Amino acid sequence: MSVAGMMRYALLRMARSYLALLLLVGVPLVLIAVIGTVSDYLQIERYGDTSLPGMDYLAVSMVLGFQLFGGAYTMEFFKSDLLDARKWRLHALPLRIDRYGMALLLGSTVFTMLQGLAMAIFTQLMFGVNWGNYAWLVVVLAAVSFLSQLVGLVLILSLRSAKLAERLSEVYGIGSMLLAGFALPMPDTPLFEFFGRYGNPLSLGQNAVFGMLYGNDRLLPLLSVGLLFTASALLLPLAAAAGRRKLG
Amino acid sequence: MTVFRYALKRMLRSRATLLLLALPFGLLLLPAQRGWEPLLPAWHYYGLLLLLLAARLPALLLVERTSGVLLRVASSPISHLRYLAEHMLAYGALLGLQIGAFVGAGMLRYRDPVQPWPLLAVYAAFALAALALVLAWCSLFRNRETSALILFSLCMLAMMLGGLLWPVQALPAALQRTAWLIPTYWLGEGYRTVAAGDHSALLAAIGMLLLFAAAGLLLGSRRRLN
Repeated sequence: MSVAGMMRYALLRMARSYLALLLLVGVPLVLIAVIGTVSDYLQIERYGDTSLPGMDYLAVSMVLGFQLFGGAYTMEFFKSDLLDARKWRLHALPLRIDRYGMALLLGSTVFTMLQGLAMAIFTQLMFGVNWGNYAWLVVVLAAVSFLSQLVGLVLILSLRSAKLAERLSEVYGIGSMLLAGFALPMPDTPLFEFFGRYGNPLSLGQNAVFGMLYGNDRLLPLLSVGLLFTASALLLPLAAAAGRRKLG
Repeated sequence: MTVFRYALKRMLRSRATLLLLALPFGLLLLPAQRGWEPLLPAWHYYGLLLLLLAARLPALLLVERTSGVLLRVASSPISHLRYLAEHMLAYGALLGLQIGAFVGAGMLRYRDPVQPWPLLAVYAAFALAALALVLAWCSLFRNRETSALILFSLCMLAMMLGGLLWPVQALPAALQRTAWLIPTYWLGEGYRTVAAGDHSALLAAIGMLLLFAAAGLLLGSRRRLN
């Protein structure tokens, strides 16, 4: 079967996992809606030197932030198909396991992006959030989503305990949100300032969306997306090596 | 107190539990600037972490129920009341120690003029309420992961609607009027009364939290063998 064909079935299975959909689409939308009720209070949010409506800042950060947890799809599918008992059935099929893994990875990336895109369109229609150019948004979502899937993939393939891998992927997501200063105020030191601006995927995604919308030059958003893809490129050989060891 | 002893031993041997108990001390890195919060940010956000810390024990008990340990306990000569009470006591002791240590360390770190005793009482009452409510929540589920994921989202909502992520006054009028139904509102109320030094209002907030704890215990302590 071609990679696209295998991806189709992975996507169909993801579309039927209602709990994951509830958590990755329902929850952020409810949170955005609740935050929307206090948008008067959050009127203006500062992002670097620019100020923007609080609702825009929150919706963009929330949607990009939940992309970080999309790696759960890759982890769950690799675990159930290629690491647990079902792997023997898959090995018995006339398909190449590396290609199947690729299909799962790409399917999860695309599905997570689609979720992000659906939420973006919803928030634009409901709350008038300005997302800028949707083609650029798709690029940003692809960058954040692909990196998150790879982080999950490297974790699940290189650690012995799947449970630990899942916890660590949550640390990645929540840690990025914390570093980006999205949940709590962070200490006011140069180190935290750097990590809060360039040192985590959520901030890089924010740079990419807000920089294109409000920034004066295009360098920061382009650089941010470039950094996200660079991080993915660095993780790819790691994932390939870990996969060859664990699945081969 | 056999169950208590072994429960305590098991918890102290679990690296995840120890990590969770050490985690809140990271809050002491936060600066001493005041925002809209009635108390210093470290005091404020510690309450939010308590909500997540309290979710640990009921999750362990859920696993004992689904893995059949509870069935074996039921067939041994020990009452469910003792099993549950000594587990709660063991975890409560750890949480209590942590609350004490955190408040002590925070007092040294910030030299905050706020009184430590009312703060300790608010944290203790809130931890108890959170523990009991999560116990009631977990009794509805058979899968630990599902329960934890939905619970985490509900906690976020409770923090928002209870006025812990922004002042209650920022909420629309209708939600302000119903905020008292949410336990986290009373944690925020506790913070405000501690900051204002208003002791009778503090007692009311603690009383409400204890009522939530009682309700949670009533719903969550029932023995279910499946």
